[in-house]
Amino acid sequence: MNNIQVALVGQPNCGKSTIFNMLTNIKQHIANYPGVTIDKKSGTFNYNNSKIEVIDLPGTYSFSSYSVEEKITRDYILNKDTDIIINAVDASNLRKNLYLTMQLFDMHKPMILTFNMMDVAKQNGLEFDLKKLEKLTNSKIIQTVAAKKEGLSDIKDSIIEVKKDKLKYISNALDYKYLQKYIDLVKELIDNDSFDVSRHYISVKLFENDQQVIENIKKINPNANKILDYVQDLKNEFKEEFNISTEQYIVKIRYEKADEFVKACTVKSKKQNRTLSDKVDSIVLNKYLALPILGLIIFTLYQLSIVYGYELTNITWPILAWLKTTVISFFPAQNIDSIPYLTQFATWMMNSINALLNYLPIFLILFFLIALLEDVGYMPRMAFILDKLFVKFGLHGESTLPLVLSGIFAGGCAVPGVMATKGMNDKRAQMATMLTVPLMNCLAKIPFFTLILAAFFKEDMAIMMFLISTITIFVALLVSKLLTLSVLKSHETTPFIMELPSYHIPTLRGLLTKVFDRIWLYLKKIVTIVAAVAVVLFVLIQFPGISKEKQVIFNSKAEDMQKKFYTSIQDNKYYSHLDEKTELKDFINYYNNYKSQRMNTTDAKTAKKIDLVFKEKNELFFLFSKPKRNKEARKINKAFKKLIRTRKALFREVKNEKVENSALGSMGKFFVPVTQYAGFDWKINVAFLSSFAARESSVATLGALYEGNKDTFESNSIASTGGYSSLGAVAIMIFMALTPPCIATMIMIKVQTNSYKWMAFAISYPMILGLLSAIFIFQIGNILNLTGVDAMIYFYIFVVTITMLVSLIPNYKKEKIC
Amino acid sequence: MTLDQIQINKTAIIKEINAQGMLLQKLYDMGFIEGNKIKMIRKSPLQDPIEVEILSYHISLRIQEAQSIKVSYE
Repeated sequence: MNNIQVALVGQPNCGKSTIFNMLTNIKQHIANYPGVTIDKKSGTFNYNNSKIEVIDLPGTYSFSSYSVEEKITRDYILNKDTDIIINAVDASNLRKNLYLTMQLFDMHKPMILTFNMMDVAKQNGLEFDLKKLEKLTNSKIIQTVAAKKEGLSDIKDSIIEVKKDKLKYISNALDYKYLQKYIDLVKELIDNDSFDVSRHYISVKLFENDQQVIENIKKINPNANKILDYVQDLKNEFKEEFNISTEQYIVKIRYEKADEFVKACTVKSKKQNRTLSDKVDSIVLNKYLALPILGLIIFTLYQLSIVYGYELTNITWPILAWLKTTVISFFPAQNIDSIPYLTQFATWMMNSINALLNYLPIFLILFFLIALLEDVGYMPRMAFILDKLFVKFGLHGESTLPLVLSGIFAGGCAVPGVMATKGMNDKRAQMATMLTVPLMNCLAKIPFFTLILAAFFKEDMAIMMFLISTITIFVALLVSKLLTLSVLKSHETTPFIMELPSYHIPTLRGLLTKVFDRIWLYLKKIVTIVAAVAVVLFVLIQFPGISKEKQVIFNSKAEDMQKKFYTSIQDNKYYSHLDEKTELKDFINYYNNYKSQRMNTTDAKTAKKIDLVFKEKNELFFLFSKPKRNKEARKINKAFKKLIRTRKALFREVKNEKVENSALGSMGKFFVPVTQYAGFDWKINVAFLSSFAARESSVATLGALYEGNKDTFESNSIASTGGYSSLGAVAIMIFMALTPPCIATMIMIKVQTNSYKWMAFAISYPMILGLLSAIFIFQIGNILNLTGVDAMIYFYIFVVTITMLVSLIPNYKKEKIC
Repeated sequence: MTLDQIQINKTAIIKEINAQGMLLQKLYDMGFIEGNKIKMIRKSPLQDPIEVEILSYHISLRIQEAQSIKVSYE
């Protein structure tokens, strides 16, 4: 078998990844380039007795040595083991793409050019004569529409063909006119043995003043200084004669040549839709209209995804509930006095996973709208409009979308927020955005806030909600600035030089591909890992369990409850149908099952159907559940309902005991010596700890811990039985607003930064910050005897002032010389 | 005069680029080379960054970066 190494190269957004996916299908492997956090995607496939390995290199505009991506890409291409370069070219943006191709020509490697997105080009009224271009450039050219898998076998065939006669497909189409003579002169001085790469390439790079190549020469070649001096002389000479520096001349020739090729192979061209784009931009980027339009777009994004998406979950929730009931039905039935571990475990797992799946409708809409904005071309405009504001805080215009998605106002989700940082060019701003995005208003925090607000701030609910949901923006900006001035200080920043491309009409296929890619990433990464964390949490809550003495008490309570039930129905005519324990057990399960199924439906027809099914299953039990006018059955029903209530209360008591005794409870207590300064007791601590898996659980845990013996949880109980003042409540809310992002977000941060270190940082700094803020509020508030509302307002003013002040500090700029 | 001072809708010619390293390379890659024509399209609503047209592409850059490019009207 023949091994062929293929490198896939192209500019960002040229459809390179779709070609990669098309070639390698699902046999992909993602690793890291040594020492850097850039994905190395590779995949293999067999074709025609050859084993072909494809590497998907990072998208890049050029091959200078200034950014890590560019360095990696060019090193990989120049590597002598790399046999063939596939250059993906976006046919709808040909000249810009060919600029990169010209640089690839310099490297003297056998090349295949794939013209991707031919469909889009055609839509734009462009047609090309690729045969002609093939002749002109001396390389293999193929047409593809990767999204539709067109051109797949062509690529494979030409890989084999090019490999057979590599020299034939090395292009020498690019000559540097007046400079060529000089390049050739230097070429003669470079001895071939010390380099794997072509002498032509090295010579060109010397005239481009490429620091990495210069360093290399100094290292390997004993005559390096002589060569470099000579190059310098030639450069001066050239500048004198032609009045332009060699660096600029090289760029100029590349553009000219790209232009020449475009002109030569274009059969049909329509005036680019630039004019239409210009018209749109004169409104969208208008001095006065730009901000309102941006606001309107963000508002619509919110309204459609968060608000309507949330309404959609009303439809999808019953499906998830049904899924849960179905799964649980495969596990052992409940006992009268306890629920088997396995069944508890199944319930717990289904609850945890459903909590995340519940967001799917929202994400579906959100991802679609984001893809729409991306494909239309609005994203760079958004950055253009708001850059000035964000740059003061170490962020970037491109931070707008991630921040918006994570919940600037009403509540969003940090998961798509972190995902949206992916395309950011400025590495430092990208890190700053990613690390602060989780501070924004997570949708799942809202029920928690509502609960606390309803309990403590009935009068001032609106103002408090406003304060709590906007303070996070200022905290995020403040934190971002502080991080930029400290830990991120040495991170690479890139100039804000960004193309504002023409607007495009997106294709539905393109949009849907993006949506499903992202949904899939969410499901694959998040749900699996959250499931794993849920298992850990379950164990932490279950063990070591209840002490023997307590168990005895609970057992006797359970006995009591059954005795009471039997005494109250012993004269009943149906008594004999329930007197066996197994019968009672069956009925409990039957009843619970029936109730939960009925709860999931709102429409009368299905309800009737359910009734029928259950009636068929067990007519007698159905009668007990729905006695109607049957007097005896009604007595059973009444006694039974009482039993169910007592049983529920007992289970809750057992659960509380268990949690208090559990490893998680001990952890909650362990932190009390510190958290007491913020006014948190162990119950609050446990609620925070359990919210780590998914925020939703904090409300449930808090509810369970504070509800005492009441059947339904009322938010008042935390105020009346918790022993909290309104000041304590503010401390709790501030902590909740800042505490670590949920595990799902953390995983996304790990995926994007490819570093556990940053993930750990993203977990720990908000905890410290949240705790310090809570302690600050609680302590100062107590000293000054402030009410909760006062403390909140003063803290708000405090944060806003500091944020405004730090915005005046200039950002440290890392000058990169090489 | 530097690039950021071109009046809106006016065209100028690049005379000199006083940048280094990555900024210079980025400018080159986007077509900012001496002798090329450049047209000011607009300023951002917050006055910074600016949008210019070069080689028929629309490029946005910050004023701070634009100040490293010397231009003159034809």
